[in-house]
Amino acid sequence: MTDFAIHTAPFSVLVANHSNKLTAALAELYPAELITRPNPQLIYDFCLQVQRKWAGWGRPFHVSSGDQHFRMTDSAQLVPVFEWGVNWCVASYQHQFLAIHAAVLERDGKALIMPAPPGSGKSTLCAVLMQEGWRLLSDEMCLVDLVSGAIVPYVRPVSLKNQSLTLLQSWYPQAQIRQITAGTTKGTVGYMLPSKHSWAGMQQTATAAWVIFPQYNAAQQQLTLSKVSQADAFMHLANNSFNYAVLAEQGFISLSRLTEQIDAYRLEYACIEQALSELNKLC
Amino acid sequence: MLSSQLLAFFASPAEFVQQATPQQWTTFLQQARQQGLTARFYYVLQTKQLLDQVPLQVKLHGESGARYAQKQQHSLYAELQQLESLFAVADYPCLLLKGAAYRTQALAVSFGRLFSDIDILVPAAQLRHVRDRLFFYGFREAQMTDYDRDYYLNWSHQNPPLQHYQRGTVIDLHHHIYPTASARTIDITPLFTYAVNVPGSAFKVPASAHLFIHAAVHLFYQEETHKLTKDVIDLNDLLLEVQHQKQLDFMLEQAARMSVQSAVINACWILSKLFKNGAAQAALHSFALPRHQPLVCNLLLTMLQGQPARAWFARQLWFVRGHSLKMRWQVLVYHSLAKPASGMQRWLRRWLPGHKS
Repeated sequence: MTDFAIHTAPFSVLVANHSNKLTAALAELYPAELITRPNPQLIYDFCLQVQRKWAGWGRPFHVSSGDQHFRMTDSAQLVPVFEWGVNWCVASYQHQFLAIHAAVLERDGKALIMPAPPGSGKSTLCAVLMQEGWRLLSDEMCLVDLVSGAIVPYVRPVSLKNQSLTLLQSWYPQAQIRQITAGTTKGTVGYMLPSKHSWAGMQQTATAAWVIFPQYNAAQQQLTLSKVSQADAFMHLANNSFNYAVLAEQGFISLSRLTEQIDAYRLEYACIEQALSELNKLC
Repeated sequence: MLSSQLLAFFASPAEFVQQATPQQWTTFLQQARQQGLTARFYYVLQTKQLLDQVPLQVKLHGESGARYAQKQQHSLYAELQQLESLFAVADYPCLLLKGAAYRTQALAVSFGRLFSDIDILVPAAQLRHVRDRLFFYGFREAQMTDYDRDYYLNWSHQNPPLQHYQRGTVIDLHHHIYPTASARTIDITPLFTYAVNVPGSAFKVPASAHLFIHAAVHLFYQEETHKLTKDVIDLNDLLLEVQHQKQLDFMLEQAARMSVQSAVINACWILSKLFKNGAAQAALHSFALPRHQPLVCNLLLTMLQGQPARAWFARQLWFVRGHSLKMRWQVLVYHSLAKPASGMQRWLRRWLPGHKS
């Protein structure tokens, strides 16, 4: 039993862990100072249990939060299931921030938000931008402070899937991609480590400036970047939010404010260099 | 999972806030989430003006829970408005039960309480009629095996749960508060007789005394334990409400009339023990009542406060006890054999060659 805690601002997670493999794997993904032994002097936001329910080495691990079962997995897929489990806790229980399913990066204090459904190339584009010097705030969840409207970072390893793993590695041979796991429900999954200045700025908020709705399309002849109206941007952001409906009036006010301060575009691309150059011109 | 921190908080919020260590707060947050009580603790802190004395993290999680509960309450009102036109033309009483009833009466127990469904009680003779009308309103019965459906219709006190095809709302349509397969006969006529109108609505709700009786019956005459801590905390608030509305004598008199005295007395004993509930102590001391059932009460306390292994064992006993109460022995024997047999039959149909499902 190797219990530990992960201190990724703004949420900390206490993990009751029965897998040595998980401890070793997370040590590769997170900076050493963010994974500690449980400290009884701290309050932890979420608790996860990773344990075999019935004794025996061949039994699957159960990832759960108290009585709330998340998923069962064999040892080989424990890392992605654990990472999704942390996302599940945050998406299910926190309504302190407006949470939008989106990648967020920052340059010169201004945040670029990329909301998109799975398969749109959001994480690939996010990883590329981080490699090009943007500061990563999150590849999964854009957290909007309900009072100040600031974009709050939730820095975690960037989850890459299938083809994008090989592409990223070929484009950026120095990129550190760890814990590649084949055969998950999302295919092959691996994690790109956030850049040093992304970890260093994990508590530094940014101001929303651009919203890009990316769509990778291999058949696209020419990149298209089209302006999206504020009303459409609002609706798309609301649809991509985990808790817009829960926050009711506060959600509406918060999203209205965000929409008023950004320029929104739809980006359809086949070639990553073109997409990158277009974004560099725009932002 | 035992919820000792939660019980300690609800028994004495001010004391808990003063003494809780960070480690206890971590456990407390986890237990509150598990029992769906995050918003409830937030409203307790707010009512008792203790919000400034708790750590910021606890306050933020409480606020998160309160936002979610608020959203659920809006959804409840929206759903009840959809149902108004259906029940407005009914010439029989339609009562809201449990969470929906607490909320429409704005009882203290309803602040921050979460809902999983809307419970409605109609006279048994009208059950089929109401169900058929709900079908026209877009509700349908969830997929279940023939055996389970027969179980609901013949032995339980409700129709199989009805879910709206678009909104996803679930209605539990009851014709009684206790399974008809039980050897115990509970007369629910007083629930209809003393029901209170909801202003501006076709719905009624049972008197507070009956709301408490229903909750006590649910806890003590059945086997469910997955939200045990929440159930006793609900009972605690409900009994204080009964006292506040000066219905304590009426409640005890009704418990005797409905033949559910043991549930009510056991509930009072537990509330007195866990929360030092003044109303429970008054009820236990002021009236010539039968004594509480020590075995049953201690079993419940063990589930709530005992060591994990003892609590687990108590839950198994409670499970058997609950079934033996809610089903006559002939039904219980039949059910214990027929339910696994029906599962086995389905399994064989699926796997044996030549059979098509």
